Formats: sequence, C-alpha cells, structure tokens
Amino acid sequence: MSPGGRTIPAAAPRLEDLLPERIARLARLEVRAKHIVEGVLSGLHRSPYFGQSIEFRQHREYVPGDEARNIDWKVWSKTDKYYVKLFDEDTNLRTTIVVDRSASMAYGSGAMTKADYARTVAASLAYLLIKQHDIVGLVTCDSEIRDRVPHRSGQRHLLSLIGPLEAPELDDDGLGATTALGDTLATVAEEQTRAGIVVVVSDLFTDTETLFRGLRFLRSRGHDVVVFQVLDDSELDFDFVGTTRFEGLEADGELTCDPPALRASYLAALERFMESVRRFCGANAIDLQTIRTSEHLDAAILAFMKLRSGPRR
Amino acid sequence: MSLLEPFFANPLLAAAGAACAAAPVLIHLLNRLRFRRVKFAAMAFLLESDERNRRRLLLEQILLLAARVLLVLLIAALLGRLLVDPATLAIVGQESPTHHVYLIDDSASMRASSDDAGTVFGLAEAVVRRDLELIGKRAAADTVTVLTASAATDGDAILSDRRVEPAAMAELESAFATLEAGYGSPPLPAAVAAAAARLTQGDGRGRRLVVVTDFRAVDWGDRGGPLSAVTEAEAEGVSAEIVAVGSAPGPNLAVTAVRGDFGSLAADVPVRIAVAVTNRSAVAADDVTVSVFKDADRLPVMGTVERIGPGETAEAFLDMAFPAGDASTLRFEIEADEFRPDDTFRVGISVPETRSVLIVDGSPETDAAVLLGDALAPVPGIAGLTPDVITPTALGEIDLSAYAVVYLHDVAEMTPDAAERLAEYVGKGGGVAAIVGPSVSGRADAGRAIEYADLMAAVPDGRKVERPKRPGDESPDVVFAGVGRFAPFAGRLAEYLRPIRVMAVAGSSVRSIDEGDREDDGVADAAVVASCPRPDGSSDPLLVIADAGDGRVATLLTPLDDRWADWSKHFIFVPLIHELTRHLAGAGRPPGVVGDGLTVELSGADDFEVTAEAPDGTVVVPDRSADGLSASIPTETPGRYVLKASSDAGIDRVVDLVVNTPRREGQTELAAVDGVRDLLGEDSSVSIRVGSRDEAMLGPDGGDVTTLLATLAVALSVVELWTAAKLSRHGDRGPGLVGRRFGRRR
Repeated sequence: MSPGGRTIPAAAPRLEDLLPERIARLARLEVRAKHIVEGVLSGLHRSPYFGQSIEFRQHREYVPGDEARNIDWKVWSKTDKYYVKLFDEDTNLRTTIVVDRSASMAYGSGAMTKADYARTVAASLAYLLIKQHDIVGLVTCDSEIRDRVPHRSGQRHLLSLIGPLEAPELDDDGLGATTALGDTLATVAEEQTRAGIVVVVSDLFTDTETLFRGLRFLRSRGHDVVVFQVLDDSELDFDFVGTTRFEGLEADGELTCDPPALRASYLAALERFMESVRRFCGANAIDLQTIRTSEHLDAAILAFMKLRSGPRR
Repeated sequence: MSLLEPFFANPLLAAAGAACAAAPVLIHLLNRLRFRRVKFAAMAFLLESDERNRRRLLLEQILLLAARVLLVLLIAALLGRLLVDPATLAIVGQESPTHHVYLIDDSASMRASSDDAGTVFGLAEAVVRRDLELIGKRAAADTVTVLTASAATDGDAILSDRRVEPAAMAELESAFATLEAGYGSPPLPAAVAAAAARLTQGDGRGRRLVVVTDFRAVDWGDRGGPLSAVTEAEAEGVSAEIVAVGSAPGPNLAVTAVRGDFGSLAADVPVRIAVAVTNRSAVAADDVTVSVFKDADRLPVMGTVERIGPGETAEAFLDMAFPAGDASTLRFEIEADEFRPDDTFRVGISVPETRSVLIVDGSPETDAAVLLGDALAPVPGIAGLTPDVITPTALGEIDLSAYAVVYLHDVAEMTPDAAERLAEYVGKGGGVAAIVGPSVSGRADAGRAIEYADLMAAVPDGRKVERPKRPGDESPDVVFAGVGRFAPFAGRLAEYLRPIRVMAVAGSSVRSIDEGDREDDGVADAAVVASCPRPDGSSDPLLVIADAGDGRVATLLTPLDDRWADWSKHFIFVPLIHELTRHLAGAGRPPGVVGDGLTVELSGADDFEVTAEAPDGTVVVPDRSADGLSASIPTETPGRYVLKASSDAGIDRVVDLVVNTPRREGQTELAAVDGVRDLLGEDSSVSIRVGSRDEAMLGPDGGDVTTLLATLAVALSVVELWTAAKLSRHGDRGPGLVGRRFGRRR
C-alpha cells in the first residue's frame, strides 16, 4: 500500500493514470517516476523509438575496467589493438537535471503546483535515464544552488537523485526565494567540463538577460540543452473573475484589479516574454517545451525521448 | 423637498430616486473592498499590463459608474415625473423680487372644449394657479397681478400686485370658481398693453408679463395685434412670455351668416332665408341640419346641407312666414361641436301687419304715383306693403323711420331739412329709390341742384337722352345684368322685359367711388343693374343701386311716364318693383356682436326712466352718461337686449339689439409656434410656452419628455451594458496562451 492508501496496479498504468490529478495522489516521488516511465514505455512497444539505443554507434580504445565481452575481436585481429564496441545504450549519456525551486514555482491552481509538477518530471527523467544506464546528475536552485547530486548511474543513484527533489515544500506564504536560474546555469556550465545534456525544468520567471547568458554559456561548453518551461493554466489563460488582489510570490509587489479588464494586456505581455524565449532557444539550438501543469505527465518524457532521438546539433 | 417640488410632479419619488443615485458608487466601493487574494507568480506581466492600461481602465470605470448613476437618476426623473417646464425655469430664473402680471385671454374662443379642464379657459386657469403656487414658494418677495383681457383695459383685476399668500390664493380660487371665458372678442393688443402698463418701471423689481391664451392664428399669426403689444412690452424691458393653452381644433362647423329680407318682413308674407354654414375643420361634414328657434320655441322647419368640404361654406335655405308680432329673436342652430358659441346665429325680427312704403310724388300731373302704389300693393295685404303718397313739400314733416322704403318720383327739389332727414334715414338703414323724370333731367344744373344728389347712385346730368327706334328693330330696350337678387331678370324673366319700350332716359354719371370717398359721403360701389342698349353697342344706365351708410339707394333713370317709357304698363314691372323694394328695405337692422353695447338716446329736457332687459330675461340697470343724454348697457352674452326709456311727458323709446358671438372667434386654428418665433425675430427674448403643466412632462417647446427620458434611459442602459461587458471581457479571445500546442489531451 502506498502512503496515500492507494494500491499500485501491478499491470502497466493506463494513459489516464498519468493525469496530474492521479499522479498527485502518489506521495513518493520514486513511485511517481516509476509509474510514469513504465506507462510511457508500455506505450512505446509500438513506438519507433524503442531499440534504437542498442544499435552500434562507434569504437573506442579499450581501457582497464571495460568488460572483456565488449572487445571487438575482429578489429584486434586486423589491427592488433583492443577496441571495445559502443552501442547507443552504452554511450554513458551524461545528463544534468536542473530544477527551479524558487518561490514562483510554488504557484498552482490545479492538482499540482508548478514545483510539484517540475520535480515529478525531473524524477521521471532521472528514472528513465538511470533505467537506460545513463549518468545523471541533479542541481536544484532558487536564488542560489540548493542541492547538487553528482553524476552517477545505477539504481541506487536514483534514490540519491530523488532525495533532494522530495525536500519539503516551500512555506505556505510562498514568499521569499527569488529565481537566479541564469547564474545557476552558468555555474553548471563552469562545473560540467564534459559535454552532456542539461535539462532545465523551470517557469523561467527570472531575469531573461541572466537566463539567456546562462543558457548561452551552457551551449558554448558543448552541452545539449533541453528546457521544460512549466506554467500553470491560470498563468496561461488568466481566467480570474471578480475583484482580486494579486500578491507576488517572489515579493515583487501586489495589485488589486478586475482581472478580465487586464486579461488581454497580461496575455500580450506574457506572449512577448515567451516569444523572446522561443526566439532565443531557436537561435541557440536549445530544445524548448512549454508544459501546462494540467498536461499528462508523460508529455515531458515523450518530448524528451523525441528530442533525443533527433539528430544531434 | 421644496427644492424639488417645482421640478417634479412626485418630488418624494424623485428624492428617493436621487438618493439611490449613490448606490452605484457605494456598490463600486464595496466591490473594491471585497476581493479575494491570490498569490501569483507572473506578477511582472500583470504589473506591466496594469501600468499600460491604467488610464484607459480608469476612464472606462468612470464611464461605467457615470452611466449607472445617470441611469438611476433618469429612472428617478421618470418616476418623479420631471417637469422640464419653461414656466418653472422662467420663474426660478427671475431676478428677485419680481412683479408677475398674468393676463388671461377670456375671448369666446377660450370656451372651446378641452379634455383636461372642460374648456381651454380652464386650462388657462390651471396654468395661472400652478404658476402662482410656484411663485409662492420662492423666497423672494414676489407679487402677482392676475387679470382678464376683457377687464384689463377697464383697470379691473382679480389680483392686483399681491403677495402670493393664502388669502390671495383664496381670492383667486373664489374668482376662478365663477369666472369663465366671455362670448366676445376683447381687444387683446390693448389688454396686453394695459397689463404691461401695470409693471411699474424703476421700482427695482423684476417685471414679468405672462399672456395665457389659446394662441389662435387669427390673433397671433401676424406681427400686428397682441404680438406687437408683447414686443413693445419687451422693448420696455419686460420679461414677456406667451403661454399657449389651446389645443388643435377638432370638428368645427359654424353658422356664419343668415340672409333674408327681414327689412321687408310682414305678417304671413313668405320669406326665403339662407343660412350659411362654414366648415372650419379639416374633414368634410355631411348632412348638416339647421334648426330654427323663435325666441324659446323651436319652429317646425329645418334646413339641410348635404356636404360641406373643409374650409368651404354652404347655404341651407328655409322658406318661412311669420305671424304679426312684437320684436323677437330667430335662432339658427346646428348640432353642437367642440366650439359651441359659433353653432348658433341670432337674428332679430319684427313682423308688422304691413310695411309702409312712402311715395314722394314730384309729378302729380301724372298717374305715376298711382301706378307705383298699385304695383307695390296690387291686392291689399298680399304683399305686406302699404304705400303712402305725399308731395315733396310734405317730406320734411314725416317721420321717415316708419317707412321701409322711400320712393322719390321725379322729385327735383326738396327742402334742405328734408334732404338732411332723408340722408339720416338712409344712414340708419333706410332705402331710397330715386326715379328720375322730366323735372330733373330738364335742369342744366341738375347734378348740383338736387338736394339729395349725394344719395343718388347715378347722378343726373340734366340731359334727356332720346332713344329712337328703327322700324323692325326687335332688340330689347331693357337688359338686366346678372347682379345678385336681380339675376332672374337677366335670365328666365328676360323675355318678359322684351316688350318694354324705353323712349328716353336721363343722362347721368354713375358713381364710382373709392374707399376713401366712401367715408365722406357714405355711398359706395354703385352697380348698374339694368341698362338700355344702343345699336352701336353702348348702353344707357337704367337702374343703378348702391349702399349708403347702413341703407341702400337706387336710381331709376326713366320715370313712370308714357313719354319716356311704358314699363309700368307691363306686368313684369310688379315683380321688378317688389324686388327693388325688398332690396332697398334690406335685412333690417343687422345683428351685432357681443361687446357692441346698446345705447338709447335721451333728451335732456325730459326725465327718463330707463330699464334694460338681458337675453336671459333679467332686468339690468343701464349706465347713464354723465350728461344724461344717453343710457347704455353692455352686451356680454349672445341674445337680444332691450332698452326702454319712458319719460313723464309720455315719451317712450325702445331700442333692441340682437348680438352674436363674433364670427372670428370660431376661427380656432392655432398659430404655429415656430412661425410666431420667426415673426418675433432671433433677437427677441419673448418665450412661448406650449401647453399647461397639467399635462405630463413637458419639454422646452412643450413636447412630452417622457419619451425622451425613457429613450435616454435605454441608451444609457446600452452604454452601461456595453461598458460593463467590455470591462469584464477584455481579452476574451480564446483559451489564452499555449492552448493546445503541446499535446493537451484532456
């Protein structure tokens, strides 16, 4: 039995089981991740993505520690040198997941807050990557980096990745930590000298100039960057009615207004922001996906797999 | 509350509504205080949006709030029955203190029916009553004068320069309880001038003149008349206002004239009476019947007119005969309509056994007088005429008033006194026929020597014009023109004239007198009724008639002398002379109109006792002139008035007069307000108020503002709904951003 009293089905979950409302009932992040990824993978039996990762990709020179069964003896017989065969599943994909845990992520009008959705997505990606024997690291941040989990692989590492993600939620008032995502990404770029994939899960409500600098920095270090912009339905639709006092979650002011009167202008401003992000990502070969917190939670996983199956840039 | 009373019929409702005008503001403020809190992440975009739209949103909010407040106020105005009344505005806008003079038009036309207050005069009273109530509420020491048009020139007033206090209002109500419009046409211009004269200049008070009238076109349709007096008052610095209380006239038929030979009326002699009925409405009238009353008795005759078109006049003919009797009144009536005073026309008649006709025989050597007398009374009593024959010398001794007509046959000379009496007789309505013969035409100075020449329609010039006839010439010697009642002699009776032979006529000059000369000698518009044609196409006048004073004169230019003409020998002479007699006798004394007054002349030597009788039979006390030489009574209602004077010396004098409502009072068509404003000119500050405050809500030009207010309310509702919808639906353009772009599968 789960802590919520729900019995996890033995069979692979159905699509509707991946709705945020249902996933939110699963208390443990690890269970959520497994539930989501298994659901996704069960749907991929008919998918063209399945099996691609075990195809031969390249040779590399043998180093002590490599398994002897991977040595390509045909190459040895011709060159008298030891080379091991590398397959896609064995390329030791190095992925860094950066999760925004600033105060703005605490907002949510539905079953899950943006923060809840983001950490679930992050955990699911970690589960998927660990399952594929990739190396996964994790960084959480708000106004500064809060947690660093070094890159490793293996099932045991999954728990060390999920641990920081399961840290307690922010206070109810949600006020406090601002977002310094750009600086965090710059730090990650500096620290990760070896090129890999950097997955950013955030609402991107931060200073765009700093954000773009951090992303550009990552790209300059050869990292593939995937950005999941997580936004709430109410932020995207702004369907509030009646006189409302809006209070900023990051202590950035308050406003009492009649929301319908401001809706068009607000949506226009948000659209301008998102367009600037889209332009930047397009120009810098950064994969950007905007996700509603009401979306099925497999969406991000599928998007990631689709992105990774495409040609490398 | 008193502040609102002048402007609202229901001030309580208006006050309550005005108080409710604060409700939208309160609701708005309460809504601003009651809000829900939302902790929001995308504040930067929200604040940016607010910054960009703050001014527009503020304006829209103000517009919405204003629309709601105005809407409530409009509803309050509708419920409270807003009175956008120029009178109210005029009174409120007056300087303080002010003397208000209200002149009420009490002419007969004000008796027209009104649905609201019985008569138009009732509406006028209501206007004055309400205005005075309004003035009474002013804090200023205003005074009012209220007077009627008929009494204004006499200096009489219902209220004279009085403060509007309960006692004054009680007096006003007491007067209004018995007051009604008259039957006459009081002189409005003089009344307006008299009313304006009451507004003393230089006493430091504001001066306001209000004329309450039915605003008929016949009074106000031109620059003259009362409009001129109002303009003059305005020029004197008086704030002038015309209140038009008349309503558009409905069906209105009027008996406008009665024609008949009442002057030659005699016992049992048939008379044809023509009753003219005018249709003053915009639709045709069918089967109009005319009833006849003699004093209080309805006579068993009735005239009918099948159809009278709008604006047309038609006549109903009644053939009647009356028994001998004292003076009485004939009343011709049509069915009552909205304006009753002109539905009746009265004529006074006197029916003697016979009418005397005086023949002054200037040629006693002939049998002309006998011939004329036989023609007038061929059978005793049958024509109702009794001829008396006298010589010219006796003319000065006879009371001519006893005669219906005087025939002067070949009279060349008479005493100046006789000529003067003859002129006086004609001036008072008598008829004189001068038959010119040898004694006149033989005089070289005929025109100047004949003492009564001024009374002749054609003045002899002394010539005898011979009319030789060639053998075989069968052309008629006497030809009548188709003039008035003599028209039959030009038509179906012409063949009976053909045998008449006229050998000679007196040369004459027919009077052709213009209007200016008419005032000098009282003779006007001579008409040649019959003439003697000549072979060359010219003709000699034979019978010429003319009006003179109140009477009529005729000149026959050939005598009853075989040497001149043989017409007295032909039977056609009898009807011709009777027609001439009836024409000269006229219609008797014409009826007067209300307001004419009736006067009896007295002699200073005798002590007369004078009594008077009004139409309703009541005895009234006449006014004696200061010198005692006359007594008179006013004639204020239609009917017959009688003045009797008797002296100790046994002299009795009786005069009577039948009066009708002036026919012009039946012209109830209203003047066009815009037209009168044009007449006043752009610079004029004279205001015209249409309608009374008893009617519903009135606009500045008298229109009902209920519809206007309701329309405004609807328009404001639309504005309010549109603004509210705009404010609540800003950006309602779909599902917002990132709608289904990312595999949303819900």
